[in-house]
Amino acid sequence: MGVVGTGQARSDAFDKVTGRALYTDDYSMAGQLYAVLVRSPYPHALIESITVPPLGPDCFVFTAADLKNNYIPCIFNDQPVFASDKVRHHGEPVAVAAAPTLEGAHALAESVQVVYRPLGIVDDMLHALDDDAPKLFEKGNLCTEFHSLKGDPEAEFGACALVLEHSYDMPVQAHGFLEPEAAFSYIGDDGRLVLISSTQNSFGDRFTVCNALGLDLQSVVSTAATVGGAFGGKDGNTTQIYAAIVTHFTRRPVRCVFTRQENIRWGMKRHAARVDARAGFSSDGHLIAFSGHIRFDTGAYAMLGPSVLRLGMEHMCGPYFVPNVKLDGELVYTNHAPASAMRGFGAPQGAIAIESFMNEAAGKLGLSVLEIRKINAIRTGCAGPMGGEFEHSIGFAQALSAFEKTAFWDEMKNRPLKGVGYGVAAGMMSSGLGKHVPDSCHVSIDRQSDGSFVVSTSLIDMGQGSATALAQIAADCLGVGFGQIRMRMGCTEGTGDSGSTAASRSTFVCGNAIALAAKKILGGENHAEARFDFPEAGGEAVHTMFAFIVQGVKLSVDRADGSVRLLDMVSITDTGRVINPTLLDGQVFGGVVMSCGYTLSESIRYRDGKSRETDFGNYTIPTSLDAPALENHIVEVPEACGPFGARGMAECPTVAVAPAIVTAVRSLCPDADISSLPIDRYQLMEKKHGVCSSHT
Amino acid sequence: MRKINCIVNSKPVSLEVEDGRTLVDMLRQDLGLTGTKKGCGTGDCGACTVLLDGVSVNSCICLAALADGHEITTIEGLQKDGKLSDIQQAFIDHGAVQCGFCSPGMIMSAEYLLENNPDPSDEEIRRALSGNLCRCTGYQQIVDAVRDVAASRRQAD
Ligand code: FES
Ligand code: FES
Repeated sequence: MGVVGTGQARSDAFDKVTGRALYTDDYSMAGQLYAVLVRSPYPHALIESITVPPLGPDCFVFTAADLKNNYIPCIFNDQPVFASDKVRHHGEPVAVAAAPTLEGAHALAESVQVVYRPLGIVDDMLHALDDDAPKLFEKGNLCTEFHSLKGDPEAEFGACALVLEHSYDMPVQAHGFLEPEAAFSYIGDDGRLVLISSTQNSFGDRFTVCNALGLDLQSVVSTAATVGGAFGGKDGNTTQIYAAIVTHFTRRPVRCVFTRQENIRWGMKRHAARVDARAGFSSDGHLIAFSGHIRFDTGAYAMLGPSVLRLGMEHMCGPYFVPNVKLDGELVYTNHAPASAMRGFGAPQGAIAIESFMNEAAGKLGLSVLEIRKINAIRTGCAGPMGGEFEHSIGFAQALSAFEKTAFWDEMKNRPLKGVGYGVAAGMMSSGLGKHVPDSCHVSIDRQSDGSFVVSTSLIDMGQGSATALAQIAADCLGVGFGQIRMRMGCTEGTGDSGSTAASRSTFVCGNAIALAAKKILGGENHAEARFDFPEAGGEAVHTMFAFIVQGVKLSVDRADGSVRLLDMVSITDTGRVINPTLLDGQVFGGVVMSCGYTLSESIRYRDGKSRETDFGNYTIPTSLDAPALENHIVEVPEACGPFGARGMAECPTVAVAPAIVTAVRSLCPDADISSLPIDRYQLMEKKHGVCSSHT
Repeated sequence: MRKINCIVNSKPVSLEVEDGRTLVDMLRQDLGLTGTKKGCGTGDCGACTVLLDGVSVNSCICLAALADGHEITTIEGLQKDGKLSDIQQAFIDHGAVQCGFCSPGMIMSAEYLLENNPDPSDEEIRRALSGNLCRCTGYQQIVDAVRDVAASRRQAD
């Protein structure tokens, strides 16, 4: 009996419940400096001059002039480390100030004099491409675009029995991880710069630092501390480069920790989106044609936006086979803080359209919301929305059947409670970085003198539990107990670059690499290395492997004040073989509640280029009172090439929550027009004589 | 500067702090008790929850001076003779810990709840923890853990 498939307790839980786990801000050293950013007060302006006042002892200021390369390596390399000639968003870093106390560093940052010449701003992405829109870059405000056509949707719409059309405005969402962005750096005993940070990619951080400072890669060691949540928002530079710059020039230990205000206003975000979609059905419920357009607001810089755009388009028709598909999208620059990766990576924005269509079409065509999904469910071997085919295992149809057996469905179908709204939606989410992005994982396993094993990889456990799940895989591959495995993760030393811990890929790609290395150990070696490459999608497809989810929500609406009370939410998840059901439940529950916030309360709104939300006081993420009671069930359709049959799933639970909630709310408030998130409470208030009955 | 005499995790402590020092900074920086976390500094997230004379408070919006002459319990003070408290253990067993950044504060709030309400309903558990944000777990396994501890404590009585 192995440990895979059991709810093995997390290996890091003891340290976390006792307060022993060391997060980045828990490190300190004698002689350390605090680094604080000098940020732009303008959303768009030319920089005329930067004047650093005479510096006292132990006080330092660094700007673009101190750097070898003033850009953050990413897809387009369009983001400077420090703005030098122009600022493109409110709060953009212009310089870093460092002093022995945090108060001193703040005062020093205040004293740096920057003269700006303000420019007109792009505050609304819908106008970003207008002829008279101020330009962020010389090339204009179109960052990149996406187009794909399969079949002839325009012609087919004419022949459809039912054509549905809707537009949605989707909000900017903050990751809301509880640990703000943080980095700590110092010069190690061997003279190398050591960077400890809250990150999803230590190799990426090392490259960013070395690129900016013109250092050899070997002169920097980058490692992840215990990470207090990430969800995509620590995939790329946040604080790391600023701490490292100060350490490099001063040779002193440096901590750079963002305040919650910095996090909410200027941390990475989920892209705001305008979604326009149209779906055509035959009279028997087959989805015949789909056309979708999404405009994503990437803010001032591309960051991972081009990949988000591509993935968002690819997921726009959901887990359904559609013969005729037209997909168009664009990523536009605005003078907002940059958006980048966030759990779901562009998929939740589009899912609201297709899932709402499915529910609406079911009602109009006399099918149940599960029947219409079964009729259209993708299966292994069927063609994807952009051509190419779904090559790997798919348990979506099984998940729909399992949903049919839940108490939730029985109640919803046969004895719905009065005053309660029910909504069902489904979603899929790819795993893997996608075509043309190197996606491999390096692992090494070392047999210790006491008979235990150390398994090393640069992938990082940001809280999702991969250290535990991967140790379970290693234990079973090596035929030893869970306690015999120690995971060493997130460091540039010891193993090769396994890329970013993102895209729901760790369990699959690293689990496979562990299995390969374990074989060598079983063959008698004491040290074994292995690398596993994520299988690349064939044809036009970007991704090739997916997880699936079917979700139902039960809620009530207070029509007097428009508030929504979430009661229960049940999920059926298909992610192949489950390595650890307790961890899986946790991923599902966390993803669901994060998306409950997306649907009902969370939004960063810009006025004159500045976010109105500034901290957790006005950017409200769900509390334990807001969250519904949660249930998760699994269907296990094993993946032939997965470790023990597993596929990745960490992002999947975020995809279909909004459409489920929106459908349930619509059932109780048929008069409400819900075309934007978070759902506007005023829309849900009982209308009396054309005005709302009450105001809050 | 101001002199503070207090009891932290059952040990008498005396130190000098700046006038405006918050309790969380005193614990984390002056006393090295980094188990207490700081997620916002504005009283909104609960990551900094500690017990002041047995009552749960957000230590980021308490001045250190408030502790003078009083008793503070932090997450580091929950283990008795090296043994985890039943709530700490239940958090591990139920998968109520993910990134763990909210866990110390969440556990302190749970300790306070069960000290004062040995038989809470789910609604009461959720209300008692509603000042402690968690972005990872969706709260379900945390509520399960607390309910479980309440039941076994009642059984033991
Ligand atoms: S750090 Fe004190 S409430 Fe957030
Ligand atoms: S476990 Fe990460 S915030 Fe609660």
